[in-house]
Amino acid sequence: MAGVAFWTKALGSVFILCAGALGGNRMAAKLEKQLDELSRFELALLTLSNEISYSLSSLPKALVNAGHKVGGDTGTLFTLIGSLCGLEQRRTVEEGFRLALEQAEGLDLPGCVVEIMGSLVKNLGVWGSKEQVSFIDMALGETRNYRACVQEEYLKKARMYRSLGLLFALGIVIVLL
Amino acid sequence: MPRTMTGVLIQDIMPLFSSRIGKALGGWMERHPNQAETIQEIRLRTGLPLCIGLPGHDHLIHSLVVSRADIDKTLSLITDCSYYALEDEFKGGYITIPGGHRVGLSGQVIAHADGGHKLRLISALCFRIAREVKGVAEHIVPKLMSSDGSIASTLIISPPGCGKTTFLRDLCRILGHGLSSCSLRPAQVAIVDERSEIAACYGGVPQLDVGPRADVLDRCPKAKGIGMLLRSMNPDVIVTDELGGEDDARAVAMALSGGVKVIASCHGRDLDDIRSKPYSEWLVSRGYFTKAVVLSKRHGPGTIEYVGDIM
Repeated sequence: MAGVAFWTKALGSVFILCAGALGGNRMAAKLEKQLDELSRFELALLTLSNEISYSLSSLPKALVNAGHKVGGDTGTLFTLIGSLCGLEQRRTVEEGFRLALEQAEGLDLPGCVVEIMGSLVKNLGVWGSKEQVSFIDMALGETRNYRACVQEEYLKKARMYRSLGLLFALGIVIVLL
Repeated sequence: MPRTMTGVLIQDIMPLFSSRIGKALGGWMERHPNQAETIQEIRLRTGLPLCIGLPGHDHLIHSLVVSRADIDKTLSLITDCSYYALEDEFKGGYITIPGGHRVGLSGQVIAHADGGHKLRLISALCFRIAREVKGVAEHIVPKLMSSDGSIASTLIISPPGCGKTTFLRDLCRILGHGLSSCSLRPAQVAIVDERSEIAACYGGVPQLDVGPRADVLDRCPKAKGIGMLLRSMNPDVIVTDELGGEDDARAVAMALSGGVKVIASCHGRDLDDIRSKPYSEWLVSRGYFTKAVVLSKRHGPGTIEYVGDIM
């Protein structure tokens, strides 16, 4: 009887520890994902800038190309915007962006990506190449600043989230035992 | 099945406008169906009423004042959201959109020290609706045949707005198909379209019917284009619009000396007027062009005043 009680407690403890570790990991992974999407967004903006200044591709095509290049949720957003705007679709980039957000509800993007892209699209498509590249550079600068903040937060908190998850679980186990 | 003007406007032009302009224009067209069929231009000017250009007059829709946002939306769409990619084309003051319609632009011009200029802060757009008139040259072609059974090198003469370009375009189409009624065999036609008026290319592809055997050099200076086509496309006939200076005359002479026929248009009231201008006189007096068509708008654009030999 005592043996069964012991094994039940042990199994419960293991379960709680795993759950705690998993919770901590998920919190850290969220930050990692944010960092990853921000890197993709940065690369997408760079690609867009290059497509505009060197290849002179049309903006819908440049957005689709950038989207395919970077992949991830950011890539999906770029591809969607590109395919929803332009002369053929009879939509401006801003309208394409709004529709893309409606169509892609499942995308997990950092709030700042949506925010920066939202203000960038207002200036995409109606300016000369120099001005267009300047607007993208401004967005790129904002993204880099934000990414630096997230990176710092990640370095500080990712390990902490993982350790805290485990410690929290350990605390519960001790209390329960 | 040819499209009606209302159909052209609904399919090609109105989707390029903001919804409020579309509504206002659609409403006007519904109220004036007969006038809608004759629309030639639609003008959007920031801060001013929408203007509909009709033959001989225009109509302002005072209830709709065009805003900067309306212009930006339309500009964004006509440039495929890629204003930057068309900056060089804007220097010419217009772009061609699908369907062959031409959009004229005006706004602030930035002049550079190197003599170049850039158009920015566009504040007005003028949509000129493309209209094809097929068959206008069909009954004239038999009179333009040379003794060897091919088309003769021909000069189309008229003042502006008398249908020179429409006539040239129809000639290109007929030459490409051939014309059995006068045993004219189909010919390889090369078009130097410096002002994108003959073929109205969009993305390098003709939007108007210039026949099945036409190669088009779009927005290329005539003198340069004629040389390029001669070397690269082996044409039977070269067609070009509005011959002007010495370079054009020399290029035409070079093509004709090489055995290629040239059909070109130039500004003038009649043959005497042409003879009073140095370069066209040089081409005519040396026998480079052997036939002429003189157009006027005495009975409406495309009135034929003279067809025949250049004496």
